[in-house]
Amino acid sequence: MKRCLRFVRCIWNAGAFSATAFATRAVLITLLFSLSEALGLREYTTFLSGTSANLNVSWQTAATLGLIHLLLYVGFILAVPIFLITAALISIWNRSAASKPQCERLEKQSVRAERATSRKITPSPPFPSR
Amino acid sequence: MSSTLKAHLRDAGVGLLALMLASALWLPCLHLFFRKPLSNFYQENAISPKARQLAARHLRLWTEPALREIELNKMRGSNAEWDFMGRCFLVWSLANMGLREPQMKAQYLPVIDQNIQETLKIEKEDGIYAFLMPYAKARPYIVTPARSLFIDGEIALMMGARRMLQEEPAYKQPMTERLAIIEQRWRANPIMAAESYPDECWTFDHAVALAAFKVADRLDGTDHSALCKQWIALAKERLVHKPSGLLISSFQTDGTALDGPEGSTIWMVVHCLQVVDDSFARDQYERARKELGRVVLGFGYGEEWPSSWQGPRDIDSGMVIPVFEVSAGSSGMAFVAASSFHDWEFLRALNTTIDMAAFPSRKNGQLKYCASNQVGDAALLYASVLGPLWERASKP
Repeated sequence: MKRCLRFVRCIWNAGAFSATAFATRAVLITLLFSLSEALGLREYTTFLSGTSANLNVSWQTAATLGLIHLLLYVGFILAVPIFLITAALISIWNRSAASKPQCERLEKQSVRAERATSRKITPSPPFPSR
Repeated sequence: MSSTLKAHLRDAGVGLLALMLASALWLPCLHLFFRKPLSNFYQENAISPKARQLAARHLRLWTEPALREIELNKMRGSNAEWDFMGRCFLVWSLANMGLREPQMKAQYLPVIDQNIQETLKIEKEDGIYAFLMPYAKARPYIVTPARSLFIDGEIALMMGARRMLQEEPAYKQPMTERLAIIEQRWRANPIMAAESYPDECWTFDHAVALAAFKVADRLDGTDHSALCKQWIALAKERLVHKPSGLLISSFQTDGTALDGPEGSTIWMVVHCLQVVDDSFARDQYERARKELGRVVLGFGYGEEWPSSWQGPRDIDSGMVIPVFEVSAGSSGMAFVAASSFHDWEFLRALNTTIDMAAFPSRKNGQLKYCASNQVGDAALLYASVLGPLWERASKP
């Protein structure tokens, strides 16, 4: 439960342009579209041809249901893949951006270590002879 | 600038850039997920899998009256014409299917006959208005007694298609009578116009009537070629929209133009003209393809109006999606024209669109498009099987 809450908090706090945010949006649209499919709203898209899918409900209601499904479908085939690709691209960017300073840090560290070693190796001046 | 703001701006910039890059990657690929071989929709010498599935659904509608009632009521709620046109497209489709597969005639003929007889019964009992939109009653027809070329031409072609599949003497006389009435009315009018609605003549209906004359000539040995030639000559002179060179859609009995060129009309017109005057039909198709046919990112569709003429959105155009100007009516009828003129690239692109955007629903080997309706599906079925009927009618 705690892990779940932490996960939700992490998503909630993610920046609007973060990989997490884009992936979350994709998952959300997929869930909503699946729900719409399961509820059979696909049938109501017949409003596109000017026909009502269900004569027991008003034309406006039927058209609204159809429009909801249409928008979710457009989201599913357009926005979901685009958001997932975006999330992947941002992750790649972030990883490379994060690894760059790390590389620089590692380089500096190794230089420092080298210097330190060389200092250690350098023979200490001989005791001054009397 | 604070470092936090700087970081936010950098994140937003990276995010937007990634979003644009992702869109540029995905959009050109989208059609690949819906694109199927053309043989899935149309085959020159056989019946495609999609045609078979669409036909199975329609045959079920005609063998289960309760189901048919529901479907027809849905359509009649919007437009009574669609009920009638759905019947016509189905009969023409089944005739083509029977000509492609003669062993299936026994299955198709009863449905064709039931369809024609029921249509005639409704017409007899409720009159022509049963299949017309309510505004047909708003004023009287100019030529009396009131008749609609829409009804007469399409019923004549239904009977002709049935007789082409297998001769049925019971349809010969009614077909000849209807065509005689059309001929008489055409000859009585200076521009050979007959009304479909009061003082409203449609090129669509005239083209269907021309095809019916051609089929009658083939069946009965009559010769209406001079009549057809005369009509086409007058149409070239009086019914062409100058800027686009396309035939207009509707006009008054005195030749005054009403609606200019429309996709929902011209695609069917070129299909019917093909059997009467192939070169004129091809010229009109090529113009329509240039003015109204579009393929964007692998998806094909039809626009309702050319850039040189903007008409009102109506029941024929169907929903028009702004920006791209995609018209449901024009796109549906574009299948018929693309199939007729073997424009395989456009037909395949149209098929890709319908599989992406029309919400196909398959159950027990039957296919319907949820975003469409019975008439839309019947027109698609017709586009997927047309050919043999026109081939026979064109034979000397």
